[in-house]
Amino acid sequence: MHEEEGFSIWFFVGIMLAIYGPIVLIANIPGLSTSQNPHVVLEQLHAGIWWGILLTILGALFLYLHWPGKETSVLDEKDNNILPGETEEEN
Amino acid sequence: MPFHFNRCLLSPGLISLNWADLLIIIIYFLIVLGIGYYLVRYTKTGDDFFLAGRKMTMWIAGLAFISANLGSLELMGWAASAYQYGILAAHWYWIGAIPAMLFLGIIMMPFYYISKTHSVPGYLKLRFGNSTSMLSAISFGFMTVLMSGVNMFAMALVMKVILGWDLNFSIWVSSITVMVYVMLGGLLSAIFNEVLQFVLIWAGALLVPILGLVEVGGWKGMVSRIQHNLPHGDYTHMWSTLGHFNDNPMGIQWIGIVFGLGFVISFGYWTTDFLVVQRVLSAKDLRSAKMAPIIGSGFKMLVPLIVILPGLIGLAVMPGLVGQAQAAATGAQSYNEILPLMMARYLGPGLLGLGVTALIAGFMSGMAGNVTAFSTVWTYDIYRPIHFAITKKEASDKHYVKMGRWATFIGVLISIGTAYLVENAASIMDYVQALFSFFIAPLFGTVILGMLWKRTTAAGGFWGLLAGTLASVGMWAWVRLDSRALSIITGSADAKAMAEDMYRALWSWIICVLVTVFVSLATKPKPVEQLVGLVRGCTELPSDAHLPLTKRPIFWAAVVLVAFIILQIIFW
Repeated sequence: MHEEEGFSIWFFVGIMLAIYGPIVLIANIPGLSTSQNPHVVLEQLHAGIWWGILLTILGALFLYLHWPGKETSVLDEKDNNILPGETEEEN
Repeated sequence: MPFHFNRCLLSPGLISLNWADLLIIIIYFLIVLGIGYYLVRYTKTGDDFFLAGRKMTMWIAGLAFISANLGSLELMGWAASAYQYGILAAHWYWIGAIPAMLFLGIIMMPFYYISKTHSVPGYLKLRFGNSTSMLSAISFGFMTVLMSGVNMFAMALVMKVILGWDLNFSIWVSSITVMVYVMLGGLLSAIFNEVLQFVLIWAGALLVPILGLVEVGGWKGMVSRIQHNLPHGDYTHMWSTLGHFNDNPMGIQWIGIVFGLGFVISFGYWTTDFLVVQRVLSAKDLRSAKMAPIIGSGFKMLVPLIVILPGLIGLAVMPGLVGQAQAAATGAQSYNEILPLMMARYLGPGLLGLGVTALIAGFMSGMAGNVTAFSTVWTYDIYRPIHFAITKKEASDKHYVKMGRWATFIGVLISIGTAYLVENAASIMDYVQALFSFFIAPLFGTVILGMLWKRTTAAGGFWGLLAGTLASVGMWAWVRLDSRALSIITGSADAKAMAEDMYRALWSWIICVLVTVFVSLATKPKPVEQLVGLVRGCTELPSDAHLPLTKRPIFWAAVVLVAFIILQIIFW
């Protein structure tokens, strides 16, 4: 779906990541000072913090690139049709 | 009320969720319903509802193509297979998918796309007439909703085991959500959610192999631990152990993998199963339709990272998991739950919610795939010819959209009914899964001959498809009645169950092709002018020579093929 017809699918991807990233980040902040989940292996790497930040950045990037009204990006491929004379008949 | 909720819907599971995990799951349901509500305004005509308006870019069609297949049972099942059989399970993602996807994009897609068909049975109608189309449509349509029900029950069972959720709660909440967003937005809604699900799966599952490899000290550390835990088997080589049935944990050899899986099963599924082909038919032009399976194949090659690798890391860090039957008898943990077990091992708050949401999303998009394919095949390939035969006139486009929405509703209800049927008679699950496999291999024989050999006749197509399907059913029943039949079908007394599937598919395909060829040679073919747009050799294929090299599908197919070959050599 193109922007001129409504929100791009990548805009929704951006919304989802921009919501999930901060939730993961906030949920893992208490673990920075004290161990919250001793059963989690490699807890000391604080993967939740890094992953939350990464998802938030990706979400923001998708929202910026696919905000309604912006130019199409590489994911909204320009027309390179190799069958210009398509017929409209259906079976 | 919370107490009541806990008592009725929750029981102890393998993992427990906190507020962030639950919030992530709830937000996911709100997003998918919101998308369905938003897209209803774009779903007015039959093309909108059944083929997403044929407006999808190659990226969207390509991701939806692979995502429709990437259900949660697929993820959990193959992670468990990797634990059970080692890296051999990756064959289902590489040789069992990549060549077929490239073949679909480069060779077959032009005919599906140029013929402007709505479905695979629709192509068979144009090529072979109503009988073959109806045989294929009825078998596909009903098997699809039954499979959807089987998957629904299996997923609800998984949610009960790992999260302690009530079976009825999982079945009704997920299926009603799917029904609402598909009824509102049709294929467009399903495709939007499939793309979201694809992103979600990677966001929720990629940390497991990353942290797993850190724990075991990289690939070499993992191999060394597996060899220490399992000194008598080779679990980390893909081809060097396939010389004989006895040399590998799967009990199969290379002929079954290359010809049974890599050719018949894989080509049958990826090129003729309408569940996945429908996504490609939604592409906005022929180039996008050719590129979509190629893009899908590129991502498919990466999926073992989040499916097979966690299973292998599980072999290294959690040895001793057992099969389902032994787990039920002894109370030990089963390797069928290796993926959620690995999630619980590495993922903290929020991340666990992402992982569980990825599994739920996988199930829901798989179900939406089944339901959209069913409603299209029912409306255009079963209802439409019957309506025309009775009334002698074509109904309006609006009428078919309405019928598509009703088919979605009924399809979901049949799926729910099947789920409860399976709950009361577990053996039905095996029968339905086997039933589905009966049609795939012969259908590929029929479609490929119809597309590539102009001499194939309508009678040849029908009798070949019927003979191949009956042969498949016959072999399956033979093995159930007499276990010695397995050694006859596979040519080895050492063959195991996995080998049976490969060889049954291979034989049923060969029988379909032979019957189609003989009957076709004995009957009168269609005039060449009626085969234009349907058959190679009778159709002038549009050239993409005017496009720069990097815009041509064949270039990217070659890139994917080279990457595929390199992977086989690395993991030989």
